[in-house]
Amino acid sequence: MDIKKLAEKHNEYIIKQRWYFHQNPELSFQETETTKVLKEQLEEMGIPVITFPDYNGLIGVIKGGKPGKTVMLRSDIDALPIEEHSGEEFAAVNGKMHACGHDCHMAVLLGAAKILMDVKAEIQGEVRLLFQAAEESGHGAVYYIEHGILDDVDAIFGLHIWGTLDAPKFNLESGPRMASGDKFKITVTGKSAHGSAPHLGHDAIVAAASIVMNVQTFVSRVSDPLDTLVVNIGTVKGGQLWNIIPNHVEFEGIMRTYSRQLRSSLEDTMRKIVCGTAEALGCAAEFEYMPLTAPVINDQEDLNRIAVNAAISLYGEESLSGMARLTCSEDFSKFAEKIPGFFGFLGCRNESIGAIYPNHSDKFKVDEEGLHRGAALYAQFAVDYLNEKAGDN
Amino acid sequence: MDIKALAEKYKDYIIEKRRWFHQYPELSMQEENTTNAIVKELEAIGIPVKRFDGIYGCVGELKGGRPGKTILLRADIDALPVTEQTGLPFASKNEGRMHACGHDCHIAMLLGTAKILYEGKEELAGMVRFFFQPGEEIALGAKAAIGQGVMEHVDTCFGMHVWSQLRSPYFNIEYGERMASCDSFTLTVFGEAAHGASPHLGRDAIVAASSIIMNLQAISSRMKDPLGALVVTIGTMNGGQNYNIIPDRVQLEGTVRTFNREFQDSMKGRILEIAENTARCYGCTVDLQYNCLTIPIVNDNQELLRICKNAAVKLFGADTLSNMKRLTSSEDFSFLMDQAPGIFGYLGSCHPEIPGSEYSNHHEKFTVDEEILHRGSAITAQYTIDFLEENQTGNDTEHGIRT
Repeated sequence: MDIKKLAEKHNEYIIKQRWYFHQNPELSFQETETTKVLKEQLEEMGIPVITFPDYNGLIGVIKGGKPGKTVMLRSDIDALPIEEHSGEEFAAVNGKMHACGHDCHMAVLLGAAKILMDVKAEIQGEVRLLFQAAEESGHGAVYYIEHGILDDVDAIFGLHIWGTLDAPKFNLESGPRMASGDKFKITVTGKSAHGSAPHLGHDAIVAAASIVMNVQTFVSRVSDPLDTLVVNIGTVKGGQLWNIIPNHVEFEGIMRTYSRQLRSSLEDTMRKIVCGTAEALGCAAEFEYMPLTAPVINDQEDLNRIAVNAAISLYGEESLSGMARLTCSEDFSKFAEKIPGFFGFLGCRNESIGAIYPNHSDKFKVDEEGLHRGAALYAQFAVDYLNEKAGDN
Repeated sequence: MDIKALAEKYKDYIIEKRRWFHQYPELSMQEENTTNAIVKELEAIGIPVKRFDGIYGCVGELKGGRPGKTILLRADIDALPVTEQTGLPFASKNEGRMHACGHDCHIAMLLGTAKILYEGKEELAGMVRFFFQPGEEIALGAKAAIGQGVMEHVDTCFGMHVWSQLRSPYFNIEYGERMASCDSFTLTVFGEAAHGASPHLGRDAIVAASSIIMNLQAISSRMKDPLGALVVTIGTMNGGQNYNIIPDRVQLEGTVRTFNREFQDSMKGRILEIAENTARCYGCTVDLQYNCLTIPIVNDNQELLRICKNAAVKLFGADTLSNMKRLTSSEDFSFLMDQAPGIFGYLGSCHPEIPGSEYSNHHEKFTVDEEILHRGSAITAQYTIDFLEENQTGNDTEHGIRT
């Protein structure tokens, strides 16, 4: 089974698919055409698909020739509301853009599907190909989890194309890789009075200012100094008039961390600081916590090892590259909270072709040399994982 | 001259005028019809009137039969942007405007005083200047009129306010701090924006602004004499673009009130020092726009207080005087008192038998016990006569307003 060779065989197919998806981007929750084309492609390969009556995205099911475990390979499929200025001949012209490389993810996973179908008889178990909608929304994964798609799956693997990583390197590091991102809203309620009579009111702005200051101690005094924590209060809006004791202030913000344990304490700690401070100043506060994404942490030693070895066996040690963890977020973490998971990155940066812009840039450009390697890694990971786990039970 | 009897004689006139002005309130610095009506009344009495240049309001001048000092009597004439809900038969006919602070009463009372004093003008030992002032509610009128010489050659000034927190028909003319100063300010905090995940790449203006607000509290708690009063209120706070961006700008608007002129003068510097240094701690900068709207009203002239109290007691007995706590609200009469010695009094307008008179000044249901109005005219007239009598100079100093 020479997966490296098979990947090269399907290189043209992969690039062709990527171009198609790139030219036809659809926003989160609107990926109907994308879903239709993916279904056609999988069915053409002879892969049965599971679709959802009221939700985009789909799952392809490849049953191997031998019994074993089940592994899921994941690609996201949605684009961004960005007007494309990449200069590519296949650039989108509908005001939307695959500026985060999800077009590549789909093409790579379709390529992996072709490879896996080529070696289907030897696969010891089952491979499920998840094409996930609405990743950019931060909660696109929830639907699938609620519909039980992870119920009989043993592990999940995801790969993201990355604009600051040189093509065609892989980054397959263990540990925290992407931060969590949880929104919050704070409402402080006081009592208004004439601006000259503070004692007759309860000043919501002083309470709010005190809350902002006290929240700083969450990072400086409450959380483990080795943990990363960002608490950002991004907007403030309060008061009616310069001459009235303000009775209402609203904040919106976001918290980010790489620690699951710290993340689980965010809501409680924040509420204590916020409400306690408000109460001390005669006001009342409401803390509304809106969890979006968990951190992406590669903390499964076996999966980390299998992923790294798969890359080395395909393209050697030099195919791997280090990369600092990212402060942005991925809702892949929702799957990895439920079952063991691994998340890696595939570099697409190449200065010589002008592929130097970060993901989400309107000039985002991809060195396509790495794409078939991505397909190979998906397939190799699946095969190696299932082989290693075949004896278990 | 029996001032009390004259006041009784003009009681109906005063009430009639009050009701007329009440029906046609005009906002600050827009008191065109009000001014025209006042000019007409003064001229009908026989008092020559001068108008100002570019602002409304007017000054009537009554020259006594004997030489003496010049006293300025002031009534403010503007109304508020309030929709009246009193249900009175003479309620405002100008939608969304209301004489909710009693300036209708002030106009009527001063016209009544003018009638009384005109009748006794031969006996008057000096000059009376009737100043009908525009734009009190926005603290622009007094300053503007002073700029046009309203206080030139004035030896003393007197003002009176109808006040709902004082029982009718009591009169309050008390020594010491009476009304607070009022400053307004806009403080803008500038930081630097960055992605919400990278606070170290930005400078957080919300944290800096919050820290400034907390540090400003120390002016009241640590820098001010604990026996004095100070209010620093941040009334609005707005800033930031999005929950996920390090905020680069916050705007605070607020007010400062105190009874101490020196402390008031130091407040701009104190706020700026705290704001600048606090902002610097967070790598931010600030811009402070600071406006002095009014200075405090302090009745510190014992001589004038004595004459005024005696005048009131002479008319209505010792129990007509009442005490009242100093107010944290403001009056731009203070600028007149800054030009010449003066005193400021309050006439109680709240009476249990007058429905609505329990509502505070500025309230949409505010009304007054009209029984007090002719008494206000009488006290003002008596005080004027007594002041001029006690301060005779023997020779007629040249006085008269420039305009």
